[in-house]
Amino acid sequence: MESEKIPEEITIEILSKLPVKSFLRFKCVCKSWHSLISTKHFIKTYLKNSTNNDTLDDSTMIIASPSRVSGSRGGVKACSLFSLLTEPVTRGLPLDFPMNPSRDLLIVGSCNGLVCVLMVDACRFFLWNPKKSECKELPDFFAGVDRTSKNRWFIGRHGFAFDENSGDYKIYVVFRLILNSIPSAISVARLYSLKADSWGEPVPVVDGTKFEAGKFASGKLHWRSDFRTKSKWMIVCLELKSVTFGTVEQPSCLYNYFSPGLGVLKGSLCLYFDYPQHIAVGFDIWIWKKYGVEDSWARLLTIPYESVSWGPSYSTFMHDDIIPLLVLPNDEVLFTIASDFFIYNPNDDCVGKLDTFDFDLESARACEAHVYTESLVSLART
Amino acid sequence: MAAETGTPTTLTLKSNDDELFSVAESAAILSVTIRNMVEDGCAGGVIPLDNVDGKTLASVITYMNGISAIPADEEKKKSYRDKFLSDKDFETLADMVLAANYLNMSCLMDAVSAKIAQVMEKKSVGWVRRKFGIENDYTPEEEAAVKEEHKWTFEGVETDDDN
Repeated sequence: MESEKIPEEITIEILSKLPVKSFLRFKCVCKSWHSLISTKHFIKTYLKNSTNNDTLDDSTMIIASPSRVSGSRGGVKACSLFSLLTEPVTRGLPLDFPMNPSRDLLIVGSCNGLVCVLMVDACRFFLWNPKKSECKELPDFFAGVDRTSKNRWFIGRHGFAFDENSGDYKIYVVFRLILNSIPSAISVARLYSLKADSWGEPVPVVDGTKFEAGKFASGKLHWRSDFRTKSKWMIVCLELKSVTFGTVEQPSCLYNYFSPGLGVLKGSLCLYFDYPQHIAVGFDIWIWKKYGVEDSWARLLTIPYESVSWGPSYSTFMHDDIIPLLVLPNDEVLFTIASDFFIYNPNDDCVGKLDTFDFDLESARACEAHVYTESLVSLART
Repeated sequence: MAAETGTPTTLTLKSNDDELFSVAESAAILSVTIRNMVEDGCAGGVIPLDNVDGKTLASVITYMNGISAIPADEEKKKSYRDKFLSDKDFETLADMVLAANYLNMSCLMDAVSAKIAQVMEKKSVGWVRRKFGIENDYTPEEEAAVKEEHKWTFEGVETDDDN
């Protein structure tokens, strides 16, 4: 074997099937492996081994909109997945949001290379394709409403989704208005259609008053329901095709799990849970493999607390702070705790920290990071 | 499935150390390289495979026969591949990946490279250098610097034996 040199293309084939932890270590083998493992071609080949439905490639980025309050300049910051997986330190770079970046921005969601951005203080919504530098502002939600009476308003549940049936991008928003003339708040919900470039007629209002971006999976937007009791919870969902609401009741296999975090992994709805440490040993992620089939909830993995609880800054990391972002090949999971990125390898229960700078996430879920992959989807009406 | 009449066509393959092997054409054409040769009319005589030794070719033929006997069921084929590769050592796997590449058998190629990756996963840098026959071209300082950059990846690495 020593005499036969393995050609580079086969070496790439082999190394690209390794977990991140292994191929990063093997940068030490020799200089040519080091440069090979640092190429976009390598990461592209590696990400092709992904068996899940996420579109991941060498253009994939983790994007977030750090709040100006936290001292950063605002706007949208991006960490490239390629750099996170190959470089010792990844710099968060500004993504050039073309509309007045000094305003407080919030990313509502990212889908097929389009990003939905909310300018929070001005209550303006935008659709943006960063790759094409296309950006459009959505029409005024309140068109037709007597503006003088718009004394106080706030946004409730909202979400960005792609409706496969109509091939259309939709944005659902609930506004709660407090009018001078009426003692209690009224809620108005509308569903924006990119094809029609209009908010359309008012649609049913989802229960609950929380400001929360819905998670899009299986043709539906999902929000956590306002908790009925500490131990009993459910998920409300909006089906885009029929614009009707439904619920996902707490599955019996998750009976003992409280206060779920809601997300999307491998294209499926997922729930994640952390407990007080004396009850559980880890952070659990459950995935709904077959949407609608209660029996198909399965535990994706448990990140043992002991593998992330090193160092002073993580001793109190629990309670809403772990946010899983995506599942990599070999079932490694990329997640964040506050502003830091970690990768969990289920084979050896090991957690590695991926260093970044100039990328400040807030620990609050409202400012969480989103996975974005470039595309050439156009915002122009066709 | 079409009705089979007469005896199936048999091919003779010759390894680079002059061993001859008989194999059913239907199994052998899993290799795109062999299929092309058959289509080019080489099937009448002996098909020389200059890049594969007898030991490796015997193994590849076992695989060809095994996998082509399984009906179109990806699950069963996968479990056959897993079982087929389960007892192979690194040297055999390395020979097989080269053979699979030369013979242009993408399924075997994928399975063997995945198996090699699985074997390597928790190994040390030194083990990999030895097994791949790679010379360390870093200075000690350079190597220490690269190691320092991804320090966490060196945790939990298997102790350096040769297995």
